[in-house]
Amino acid sequence: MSDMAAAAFTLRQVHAIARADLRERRRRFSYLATLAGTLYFLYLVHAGNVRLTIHGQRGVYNSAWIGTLMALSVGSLLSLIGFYLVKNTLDGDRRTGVGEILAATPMSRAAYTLGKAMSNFSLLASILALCAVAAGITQLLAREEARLDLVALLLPMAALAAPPVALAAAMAVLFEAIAWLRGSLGNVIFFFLWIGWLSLSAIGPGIDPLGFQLVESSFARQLPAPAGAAAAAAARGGISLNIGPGGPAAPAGAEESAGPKTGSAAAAAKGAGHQAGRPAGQAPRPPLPSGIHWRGIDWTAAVVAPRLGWLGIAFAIALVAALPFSRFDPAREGGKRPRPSRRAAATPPLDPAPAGEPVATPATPATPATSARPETSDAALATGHGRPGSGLERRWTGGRWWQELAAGAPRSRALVLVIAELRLLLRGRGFWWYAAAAGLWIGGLAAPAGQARATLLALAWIWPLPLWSEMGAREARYGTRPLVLSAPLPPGLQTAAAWAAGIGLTALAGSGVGLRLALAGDARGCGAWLAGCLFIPALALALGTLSGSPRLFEVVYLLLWYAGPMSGVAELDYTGATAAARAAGVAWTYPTLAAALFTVAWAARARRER
Amino acid sequence: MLVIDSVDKLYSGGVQALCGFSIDQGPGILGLLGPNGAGKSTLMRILATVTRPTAGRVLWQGHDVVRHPQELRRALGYLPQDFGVYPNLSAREFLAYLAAVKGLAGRRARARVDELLELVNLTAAGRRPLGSFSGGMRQRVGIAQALLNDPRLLIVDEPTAGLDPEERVRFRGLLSDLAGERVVILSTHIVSDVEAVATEIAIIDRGRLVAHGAPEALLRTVEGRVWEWTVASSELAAARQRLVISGTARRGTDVALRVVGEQAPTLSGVSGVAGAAGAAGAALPPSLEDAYLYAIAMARQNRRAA
Repeated sequence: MSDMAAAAFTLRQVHAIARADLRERRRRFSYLATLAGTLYFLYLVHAGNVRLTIHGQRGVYNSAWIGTLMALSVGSLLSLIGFYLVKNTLDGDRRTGVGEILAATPMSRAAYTLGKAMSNFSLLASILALCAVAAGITQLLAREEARLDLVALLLPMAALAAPPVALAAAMAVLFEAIAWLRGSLGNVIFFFLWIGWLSLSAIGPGIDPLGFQLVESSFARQLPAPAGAAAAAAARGGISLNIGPGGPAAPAGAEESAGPKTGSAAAAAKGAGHQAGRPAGQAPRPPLPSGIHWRGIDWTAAVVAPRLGWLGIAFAIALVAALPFSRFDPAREGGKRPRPSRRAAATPPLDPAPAGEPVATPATPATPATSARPETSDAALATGHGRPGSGLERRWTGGRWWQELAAGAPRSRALVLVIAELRLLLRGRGFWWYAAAAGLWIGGLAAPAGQARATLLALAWIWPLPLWSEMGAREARYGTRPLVLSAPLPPGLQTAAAWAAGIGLTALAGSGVGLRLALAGDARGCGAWLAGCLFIPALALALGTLSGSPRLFEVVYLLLWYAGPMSGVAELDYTGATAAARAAGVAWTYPTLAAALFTVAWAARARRER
Repeated sequence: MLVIDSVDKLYSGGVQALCGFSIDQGPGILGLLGPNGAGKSTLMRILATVTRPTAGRVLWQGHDVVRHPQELRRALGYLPQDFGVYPNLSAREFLAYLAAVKGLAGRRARARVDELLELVNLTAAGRRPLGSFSGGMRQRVGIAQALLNDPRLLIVDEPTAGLDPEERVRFRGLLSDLAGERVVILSTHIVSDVEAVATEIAIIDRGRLVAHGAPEALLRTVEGRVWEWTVASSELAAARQRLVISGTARRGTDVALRVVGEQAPTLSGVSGVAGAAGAAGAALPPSLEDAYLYAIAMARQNRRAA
C-alpha cells in the first residue's frame, strides 16, 4: 500500500469510527437529557442569571457581548461537564465487546483514539451549536441592540469555547486509554486540572485555554479612560462570570465579592445554589453603569494563533492517547484474574477403580453436548471484572451472607444485608488506599478540633469517592440487577441496607474527626458531622440509582465538595466546617435532604421492581 | 498457511492459559474442543492479534503476526465469543462502520453489507436498531461482520451459541461452503457442530494440546472402549464419580450409562456400584463425544501420573 493510499485508508477509518460512535451516542436518551439541561441553561442566560462583568461593568447586549458571554460560560462549564459526559466511549467498546472485534481489524491505534476524540468533540460541539443559535435569540429578545452581527456573535463560540471543549474531548480519550485514570481517580484528577485551567487565566491571555484574559484585555482597551476613584476601583475588578440570580442594583464591582475572579466553580455553584430557591425568571439583568458598546475581540492573527494552538494540543493529546491504549488486549487491561477452581476440572480415571479402593477424583465433568455456554469466559477470567459472571458477581452471589440471609430469622436479615453491602463497598481497594484512609483517620483524631473540622474532614470525605460512587450504580454496571431484583427481599430493604452501609462507611471514614469533635465537646460540629454521614451516601445512592453510572455522583459531589467544604460557601458546606455553615443549620437541612434523596432512590428502585 | 509454534500465555497472577501449544494448519476447518477455561478463547485471541503470546510464535503465510499483525488482520474475519453491538445503530449501519474500519468503502461496502445481510437472513431487519434484536439475530450480525472482508482466515468462537436449530444448520452449511481455500478455526463446546463440519479437530485442556487429527482418527482412538452399562438409579452418583460417562438414559428404575474406559465396567469392578444384575457392559460404536472425553481423561491421567 502506497503512503497516499495508507493515509486515505486511515482517514476513512477515523471518519468511520467518529461517525458510528457519534450516531450511537446521539440516539441515546442521555443525549436528549443533556440537551434538555442545555436548554435550561440557555433559559438562565435569557433570564439574566448568567452574568459577565468586566472591570465591574457589563456591555450593551449586542452580538459581541452576548456571543462572548455565551462562549465563556458554555466553554467553562462544558469543558468540565463535557469531559464527564463523553468519558465513556472506550469503556463502552470494552464492555460490549465491540472493542475485541475492532482489535482484530487493520485499524490503527491512532485512528481509533483520534476517531473517538473527534466523536467526543462533535457531540459537545452540537451543544455549542445549540448555544450559538440561542445567543442570537437572546440578543433579539434583550432588545438592547437590534443589529445582529453574525460574525461577532458566532466567532467567540468557535474561538473561545471550542478549544477548551476540544481539550476536554481529547483528554477524555486519554484518561480512558490509561488504565489507572479510567475510574474515579481520573475523574478527581481532571476536576483539579480544570481548576488549574481557571487559574491559568490569571497568568496571561496566551496560556488561558478558557479565554477569560483575552476578553478582559480586549474590553480594557476599549474602555474610556478612568475618571475618578470609583472608576479606578472598578478597573481593578478584572473579569467575573456568575451563574445565578444577581442583586437588583448591584454596584460596579459588586459581583467580585460573590466569588473568585474569573468565575470559579465555587461562584458557579453558589449561584446555582441560590437559583434553586428562587424563580429564575425573577432575576433582573445586571445594571448597565456605562452603556459601553463593546465591539468584541479584534480577531487578529496574534489572537487567533494561540486559540488554534489549543486545538492543536487537543489533537496531539488524542494522538498521544494511542500510546497507552491497550487495543482491548485483556492481558494489558489490568485487573486480577481469579484462579480456576480446583474442583471444576477434575475427571475420573479411565479405568474403573478396583472395588474397595478409594478414588481421588471426585466428579465427572459435564459432557460438552450439554454445556451450551461456558460459565466464565477467558476474557472475564483475564480481567476479573466488568461482565456478569466475573469476580464481583461471584462475591455478590456466593458469599456466606446469602445462605445466612436465606436461612436467617427475619430480624437478622436486615443486619446481614447491611453487612453484605458494607463488605461490597469496602472490597477491591489496594493496601495503599486503606493506608491513606487510616492516615487521614489518625490525622483527624490528632489535629486540633478546628483544623480537623475545617480541613481533615473534607479530605477524609473525598477519599472514599470511588466507594460511594458504586452505590446504586453497581447493579446496572455489572449486570447483577436481575439477580438482586429476583431475590426474596422485602420491598425497599436492599435500598435501605445500601444506604445504611454507606452511612457506616462515611462514619468510619470520618470517625477520626468525629471523635475529635466529641472529645472537644463541639455539639454543633458533631451535629453537622452526623448530617454529612447521612447526606453523602444518600446522594450517591440516589444519583447512582437514577443514572446507573458512577459518574453523575462523582461530578456533582466534586463540585459540591469544592464549593462547600473547600471554598466555604456556607449553604453547600455539608461538613459544617465553618461557623456560618453551622449557623445556617446544615445539621437540619442536610438530613432532610438525605431523607428526600433516599426516597428518590427507593422510588426509582421500586419502579424497576415493578 | 497458519503455524502456531510452541505458544505460551501467562496472565498476570501466574495463571498459565496456554502452554507449548503447536499446530500447523492448512486450508480447511479446524474444530477446537475443550472444557471451560481450557484456553480456547485465549488461543483465539492470540490468533486474532487481540493479545500477544508470552512465548512462541504464530506465523501467517510466513509472517510473524506479533511483529507484523497487519498482514494477518487484512485477511482476518473474527467472531469473538462475547461480542456486543452498538444498540442504537441499525444492523446496516453497524456493518457499514466495520466495513470502513476493515478498509471497504463506498459502493463496494454497501454491496457487501447487502449481500451479507441476505446471507444471514437479516435483510428485512437491516434497518432496525440492534438493541431490538434477539440474541440469535445479534449472533447472525456477528457472523456477517466476520465475513465482511471475505477473509482468508476465519476465526469463530462459539458461533452457534444462541442460534435456533434451523439457523445452526444453516450456519454449518455456510462454514462448509466457505472453507475451500480458507483456514477456518471453529471453537465450540458443541461436539455435533464440530462433527458436522470440521476437517480436523484439536482438543485442548488446561492450555495444552491433548489430541489433534482428523475426526476419523480420533474416533479410532476409542474403538472398543465405549460401553453401555446399566446401574440402579441410586448408584448413579457413585458411578459418576468413578467412571467417564458420556451419556445416560433412563430404563425404568435403572439408568443405562454410556461409559468410556479401557475395559468393560464390571470386569475390574467399580467401587460402590454393583450394576444391574451384575452384568458386564456391552461394547458400543464410538462417537466423537466419547473420543473427546477419552482424550481429556487420558491427558489428566497422564499428568497425574507424571
